[in-house]
Amino acid sequence: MEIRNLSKSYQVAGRRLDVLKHLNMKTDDRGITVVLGRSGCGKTTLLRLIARLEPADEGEILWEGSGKLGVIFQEPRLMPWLTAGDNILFGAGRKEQEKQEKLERLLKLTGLEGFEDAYPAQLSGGMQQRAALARALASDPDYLLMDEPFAALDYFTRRQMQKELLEVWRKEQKGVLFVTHSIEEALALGTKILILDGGVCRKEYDLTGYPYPRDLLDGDMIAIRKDIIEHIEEREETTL
Amino acid sequence: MKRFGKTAVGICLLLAVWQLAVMSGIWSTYVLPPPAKVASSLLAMMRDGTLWKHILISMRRVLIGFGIAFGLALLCGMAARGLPRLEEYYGSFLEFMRHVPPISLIALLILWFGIGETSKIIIIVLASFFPMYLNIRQGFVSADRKLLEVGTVFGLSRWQRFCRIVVPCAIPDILVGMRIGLGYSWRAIIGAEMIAAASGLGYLILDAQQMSRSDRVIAGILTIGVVGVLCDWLFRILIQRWQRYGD
Repeated sequence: MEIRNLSKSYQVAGRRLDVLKHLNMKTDDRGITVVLGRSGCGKTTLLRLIARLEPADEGEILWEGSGKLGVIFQEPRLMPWLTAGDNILFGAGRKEQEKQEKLERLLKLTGLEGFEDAYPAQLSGGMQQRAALARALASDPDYLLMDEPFAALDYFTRRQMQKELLEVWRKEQKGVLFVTHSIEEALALGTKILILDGGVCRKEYDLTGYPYPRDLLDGDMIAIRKDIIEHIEEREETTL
Repeated sequence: MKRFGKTAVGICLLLAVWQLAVMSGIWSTYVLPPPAKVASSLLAMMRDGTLWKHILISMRRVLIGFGIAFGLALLCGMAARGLPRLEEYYGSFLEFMRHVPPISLIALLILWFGIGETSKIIIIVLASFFPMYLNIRQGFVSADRKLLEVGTVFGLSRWQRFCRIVVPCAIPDILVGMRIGLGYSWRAIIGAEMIAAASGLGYLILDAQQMSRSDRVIAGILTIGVVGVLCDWLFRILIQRWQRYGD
């Protein structure tokens, strides 16, 4: 996926707020591209534009393949009146036989076997996010967009979900665009990290050479982490 | 079962107070008949079929009026969601009519439609439309935007989003509106039947009053209460069944 010259602004209290300013970036089509930035830097806006939930003011988003997307939001956004199984199959097409096979595979993949008849209110936060991930995968997307999907989970569940996401990514071989404000999460997951700040892509890190699971206390990881922090803080000081 | 027991105790207490009031002799049995006499009148009317006949007639009127009101409320609620600009044309009129008590229109309705079924059904429609419309509209308009975005992401059309997301989101509000609307229908039909009718529970009460049969008046009132409670109970079960996913 390639983004060219993408701009988006909003009117807030009568003032124009430029969120994305002629943004250019390219994602890793088979890897996990992490968009990292502080709160309010435009990460979610970028994802909403890619997901076609809002129109861009300017610019274009180019896809290889059909451009079919699976989106996982900050909240699971499951339909509360549907069971976990029906939620997973929400966008899965109409062929009954195919749907059943898909459901069984995805329940197994996301560790939700035995919970297909449970309603979202009966599932834990982590299980709800897994169901949301399974729902996104059920529509056979080319690309997964994830908007801070684990932000509301506790530390241990988040770590577990990160491991599970890597497992799903390995098995499904789909490109992932993952938005987060957590440097640890970006380092643990990304094959490519893009720093989004001030509406533009400030820096890019290629992590394809680092195998999973990653030791975040490893020398290289600490160096990248320091570099990211310095970069964001430096930019913050310039802005102030 | 515990709740049922408490309700039974409450009813027994009420009956005891009623019986004591009768026995005190403050009011004559003509004004306040004893519970036993009311019960025997009720049983007599049940045995000879009078009560069932009037219940069925009132219920038929309520169902027709309620059904029409529900259909209209559903259409207006859907229009409020799908065509918000259209609502600007009829919204003020509905707001005005909402504040007009339906019974106040009965004189005009009798003039226009006579004392037949039409005027009574219109009264029910007017009485039950507004609570249903307001709830249905609320349900449709306030459907969760975040869930609608999920539909957009999955490429659902506007109609598919309406059927698969907006309607299920609105169902709890629709059921609440129907529950309130049905209660209003019963109130309205009794009022209408007491003014212009030759049958129905309202007529039964009015006729009994004119014949100085307080026992039959009370029996009629009790019947209305029981029918109302039963209808409400049915709707409560429906609402609970739909909301079971929240448990």
